[in-house]
Amino acid sequence: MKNNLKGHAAGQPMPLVDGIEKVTGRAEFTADLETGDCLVGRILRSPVSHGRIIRVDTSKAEALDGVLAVVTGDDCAFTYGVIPIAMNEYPMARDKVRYRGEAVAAVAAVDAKTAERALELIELEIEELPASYTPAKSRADNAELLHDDKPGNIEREVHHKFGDPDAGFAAADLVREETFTCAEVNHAQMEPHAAMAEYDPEREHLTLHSVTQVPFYVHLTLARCLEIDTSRIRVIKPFVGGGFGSRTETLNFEIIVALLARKVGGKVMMRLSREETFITHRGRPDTEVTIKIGLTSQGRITAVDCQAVMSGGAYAGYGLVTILYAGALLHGLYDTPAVKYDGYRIYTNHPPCGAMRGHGTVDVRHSFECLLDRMARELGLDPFAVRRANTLTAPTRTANDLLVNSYGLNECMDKVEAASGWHERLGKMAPGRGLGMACSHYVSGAAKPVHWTGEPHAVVSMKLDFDGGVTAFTGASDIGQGSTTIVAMAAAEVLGIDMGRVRVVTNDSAVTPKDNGSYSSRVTFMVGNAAIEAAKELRQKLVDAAAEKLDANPDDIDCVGETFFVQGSSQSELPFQDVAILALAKEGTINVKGTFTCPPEAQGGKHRGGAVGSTMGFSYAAQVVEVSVDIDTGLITVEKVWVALDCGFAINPLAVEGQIEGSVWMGMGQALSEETHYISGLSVHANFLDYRVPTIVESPDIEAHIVESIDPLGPFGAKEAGEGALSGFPPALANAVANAIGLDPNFLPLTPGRISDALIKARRAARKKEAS
Amino acid sequence: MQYVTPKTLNDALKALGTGDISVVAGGTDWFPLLGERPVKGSLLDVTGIAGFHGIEKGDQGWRIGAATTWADISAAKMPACFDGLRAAAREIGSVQIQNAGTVAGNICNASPAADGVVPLLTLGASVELVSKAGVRVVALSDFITGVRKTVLKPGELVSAILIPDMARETYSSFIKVGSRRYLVISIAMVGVALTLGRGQIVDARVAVGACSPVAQRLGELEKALLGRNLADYSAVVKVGHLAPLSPVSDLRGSAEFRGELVLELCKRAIGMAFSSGGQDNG
Repeated sequence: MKNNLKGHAAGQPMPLVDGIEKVTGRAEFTADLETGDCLVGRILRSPVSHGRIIRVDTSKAEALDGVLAVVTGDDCAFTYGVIPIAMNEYPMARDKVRYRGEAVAAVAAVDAKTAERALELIELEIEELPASYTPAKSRADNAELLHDDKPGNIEREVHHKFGDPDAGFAAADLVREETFTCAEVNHAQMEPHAAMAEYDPEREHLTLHSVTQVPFYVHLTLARCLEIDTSRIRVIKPFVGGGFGSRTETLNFEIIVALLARKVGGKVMMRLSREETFITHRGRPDTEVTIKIGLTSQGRITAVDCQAVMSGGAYAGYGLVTILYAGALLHGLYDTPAVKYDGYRIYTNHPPCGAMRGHGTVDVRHSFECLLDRMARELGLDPFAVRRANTLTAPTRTANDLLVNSYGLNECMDKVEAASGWHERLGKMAPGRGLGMACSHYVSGAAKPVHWTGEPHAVVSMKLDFDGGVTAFTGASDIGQGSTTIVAMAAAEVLGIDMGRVRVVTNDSAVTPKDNGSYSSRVTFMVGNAAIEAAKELRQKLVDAAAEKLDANPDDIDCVGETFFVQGSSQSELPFQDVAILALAKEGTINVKGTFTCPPEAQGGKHRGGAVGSTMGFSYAAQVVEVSVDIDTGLITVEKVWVALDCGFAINPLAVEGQIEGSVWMGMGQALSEETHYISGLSVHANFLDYRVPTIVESPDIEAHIVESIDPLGPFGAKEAGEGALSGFPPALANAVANAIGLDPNFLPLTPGRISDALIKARRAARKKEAS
Repeated sequence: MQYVTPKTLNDALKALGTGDISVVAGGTDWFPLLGERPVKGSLLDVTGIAGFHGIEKGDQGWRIGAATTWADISAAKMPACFDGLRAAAREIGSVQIQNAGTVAGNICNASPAADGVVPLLTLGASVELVSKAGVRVVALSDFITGVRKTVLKPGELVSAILIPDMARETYSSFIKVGSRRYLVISIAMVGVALTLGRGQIVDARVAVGACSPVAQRLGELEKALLGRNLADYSAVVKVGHLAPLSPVSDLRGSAEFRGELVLELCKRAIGMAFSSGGQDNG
């Protein structure tokens, strides 16, 4: 153990503490909570991509037997949105509809059949407006505006310049520029959206159960949109079947189901179909990246110029954060002294994009790593060598003022280079087979939360009672990533007790402390630190009680294996249970809490947008991908992946490995086969047959290596583990394809059709060259 | 709605005459096609009808009962000429779909991308239809007339797929390409059946799916292959042989890509059939 703790829990591979319920099928997800007295909620959606609402007549629907409530845009005149300065969405459209499938009205009825029938009875009159489905069309002079206050349909443009890019390019020996197009992708989480709302009309209390990653933000949004005092609202997050960013902001159905419940004065369940779940979207936008890099002949990066244009969909959502991330995280991986970035987030008449695993960084990192590889080839440099020429030394600050406090990228590269047999095998492989590599990184939590309140960034409370059990309370949302387990492990580690003595109570606003939610890989870092602090506070009380009884100095007391003892003495021992009773005798039930606040030096630069990308610590990853490409069919097979992740310290190596594998799979989906598709605004890939997530058949052998750089601020030295490896996969794959068949694809995903069309084009160009 | 599960052909035909009734077997196409809409009319489940299950060898050839599933086909002991059909059986949908989906359902659904139709065309399959009026047999190539269109008349049921005896040295293969390996709709697929004599092709059947409204045999290519051997077959596969096809550009691939892909798949599938012949002899 490199850290100073004993490591009987932290650092050990642990099955997730909530895994038993999941593998036995006992876990209750939101959609499982329906009870007999629950009404069925259904949403009426816009049949057009863009239009002015002339009339929504619900009278026939309201008159239908079994219908208890109908709501429309008239029932809520408050906008919502995750970014306080960019709330421009109504739960149900009011004046205009801006994408096909946008909610227009909703009903609550005694059963699904009646609810469906009621939707058919709602008369909807919409005056259709011209729709724009691409940024180019949206930005055209004559384009219809989606939002009157956003000229040119530009949601947000970012122009950042750090260092002196012009001087950097002038000093370069090689400058190259390429444009990459990356298709829109969706999270494709297994659990479809669902929410259940119950309104108690006597007490005027609202209770909402939802699939959310951010119960706190949902709580605030419900208060805003329903004009209910926050104290009258209770938000509970049951088991959640995956998030990946799809639920990191309040979603319209969560507000709509609450509006319905209040109107009926009862309980309403809203279960969205897979198609509706896809339409709710918030995925990674279709992005066009133009990137220019300057290199010296030794491979040193002198300057970077990047332009990103994102097709953001119809509403703001997380958009401004996405477009800022794309520029900010050009920094922090390598030493990039001069970076110019121009980002354009454009409104289009498609479902709104949002945050998705690797938020904002994936397409830009893909483009950067692909171009860097091609330039290294041109300079006769090895892909590892060109990256090693540009590594950072921690602690340092980047050109855009981000803090880099720990840096394990060198070790990550060493590991995958050796494990893959890179130098022995590269260039000596069978035809159609190749190796490629890339590096990536990601933040361990945004150092500034989107709702700035001045509070600590995380709070965990802990209780010790007569039973000798330790109960930790956290608002952190476990969405499968293992946050509940981390809290339990932190308590067990600090207190020197068995994991079985620890219970973790999560995600009930009536019980657990507020947490900002599970996004930007913040939970292990922030909540983990808060849990450690709470456990230390409790430990001190126990140590004091033990010291008093043993007539020893508290500083000499230790607790290992549920036994308190005086260090260096073998006689003076007390079992945990006895010490707990002694401590309780002094003050009764013990309640402690721990907090974590991001230090100001981690909160980013002073420039506009400087908070986005700021973090306490970056995770780092390097990966090598081996592919075989069938040039006649265009089919790419991923043969093997070697991936190393610097997560600071692996508190739970089993969960870290799972996160690394998950990152590879998700990156592989975007790289090989996943893309949404719309025809005249209609989502036509809104199912798991047409939206092609790789199956276990496509899954390669993944060799995961963990690198521990021990971050000075991280809990036990830990950093994030769930996102950093993702953005390295698509470029490592593309670089491997280039190595295998000499084709440099400037597009994602690398489907057989696209690869073959590019090969046909390349062959034709070669023939033309030959002929001339 | 009524869900009718007759045990005899007679009962089934009686039920079929009662008006608004849809025939289902595995339901693996029928249910997804329904989408979110409620079922209209009644359902006639043919999987319980006596004699509708299993694969039998008779004097004239093979009889595959209409309710025989793709999993049954994968597991059946049949000669090498059925290798292509068995390969298709393993690539249809997923294991769950292969356990429920039937051979007859696949052809009645008449999708341009039906995996089962291609190998059946190379086997010269025909379709046995029964009605109160009696039994008629229609060649599979005549049975499917367009996208989701067949010659099935009201009151008629598909009772079996008939496959004539093949020459002893007949070997077959099937290749499908989609955007992923499993659970995928084909971009293109090719089935081949070759009859060999002293290492030469004496009879060839090549069929292509997902590149025209109805899967097509490539007659000119079949002719060109006659007399060819393992060493020289590849050179005869020409773009001109694809004339019966009309590939479209869609979300899964461009027309140009499909054309190039089919040429390559034809070569590979012929090679595979050859090599399975080689193994058989060796």
